[in-house]
Amino acid sequence: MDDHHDDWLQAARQGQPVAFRRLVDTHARPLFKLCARITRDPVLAEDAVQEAFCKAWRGLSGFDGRASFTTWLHRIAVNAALEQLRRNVRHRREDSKQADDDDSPFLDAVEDEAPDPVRHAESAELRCRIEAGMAQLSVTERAAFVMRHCEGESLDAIGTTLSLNTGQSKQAIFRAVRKLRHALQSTRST
Amino acid sequence: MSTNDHTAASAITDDELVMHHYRDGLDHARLQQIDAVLCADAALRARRERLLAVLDAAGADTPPEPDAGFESRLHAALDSRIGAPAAVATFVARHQQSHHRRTRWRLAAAASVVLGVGFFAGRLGTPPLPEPAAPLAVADQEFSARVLAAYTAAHLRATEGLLLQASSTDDPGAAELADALIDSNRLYAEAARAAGNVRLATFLQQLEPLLRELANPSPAADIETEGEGAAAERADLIFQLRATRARLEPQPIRT
Repeated sequence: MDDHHDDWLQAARQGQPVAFRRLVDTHARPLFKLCARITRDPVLAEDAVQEAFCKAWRGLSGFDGRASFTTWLHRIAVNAALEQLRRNVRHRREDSKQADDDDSPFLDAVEDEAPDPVRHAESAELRCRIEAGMAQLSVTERAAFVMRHCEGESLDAIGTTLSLNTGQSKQAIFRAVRKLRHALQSTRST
Repeated sequence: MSTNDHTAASAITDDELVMHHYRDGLDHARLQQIDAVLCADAALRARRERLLAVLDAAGADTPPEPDAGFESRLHAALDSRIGAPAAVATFVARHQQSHHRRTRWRLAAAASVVLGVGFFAGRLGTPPLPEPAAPLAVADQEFSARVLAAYTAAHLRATEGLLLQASSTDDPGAAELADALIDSNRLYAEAARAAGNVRLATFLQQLEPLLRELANPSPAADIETEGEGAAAERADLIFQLRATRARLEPQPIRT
């Protein structure tokens, strides 16, 4: 990260949009990847990134520095990604005749992306299975798992961000791991 | 291995092994217990390895990279949502114009005019310091000028992205983006003029017909086929936008 990141942050907290722009340039792509892991959709991920930066700009005066700026921003992005998913589910329910299952859009995506295992190398099949497994997680399971495993967030932070208690955060992660293990076992059995 | 060790290992759930891996969600005493049993029990170690393999495989879930227009779209959206810097917003508040549509210009003719002005604008150096309406410290004037330059550069970047997007696809989003850029373009043109940068203001004003053209694409039957000449003019315009933007953007701080 740029050595001047703290300077830009300080200036942005004082309301300087040019400084905030520097922060956007630094954090935009990592934020996109985080949101893409959760939404499984690049369009929703991009919308989530936009919302996250807008919220961050409005909330900068309240950033107390207890967590790092990256951590703080990423937590905002997780919620923005979840909000995009909620809106998208509501939108799809209005337009489609799918069953009332929050996971159904993701299962549809899994069906569309399922590879022909004969034609792909083992590592490519593994990647596809993991992607399919991730897509089959519920929104909460996926967000909790991504925050714990990819972002290194504590259970406390996960609970705060996702409005869960510690036990619920654990259970979400445990369910995610079980589903991913099942997806991998399917690979080994084929 | 003793019976006690087997009993201890079987009492450790997979969920606890996951939390043990993350060193989270278990108290210190339980973590130490699991550490001890892992040292003594090969079967538990094997069970843990299988779990860790699942977690490692999750690393294969690599998210896609955003496309080339991602940053341009993001900055354009943030510019319109977060708003102009205070100095520019204050100016616009004093010099508001009514919104009415102009006559649509042909893209090629508009591009020719812009190219002429753009070449002129390409010779721009650092915008001159504005004549202050009220006494301002030199540092404040310089900061205001840099803020304006940075925001104008961002606007040009978004415009460039729009032209690239419009030239390569029939994306309906291009029309929407162009419409969103019209007001911003007028804002920065007015701010540039107020700052005394007539060349930049003229360059930006000449972009407006282009943006309106892109915001209101003609039906296919109403326009001539875009030949190589128009495509070349568009490419030249993109080049001029980049050149102007490069002169406005703040230089990176080298350490």
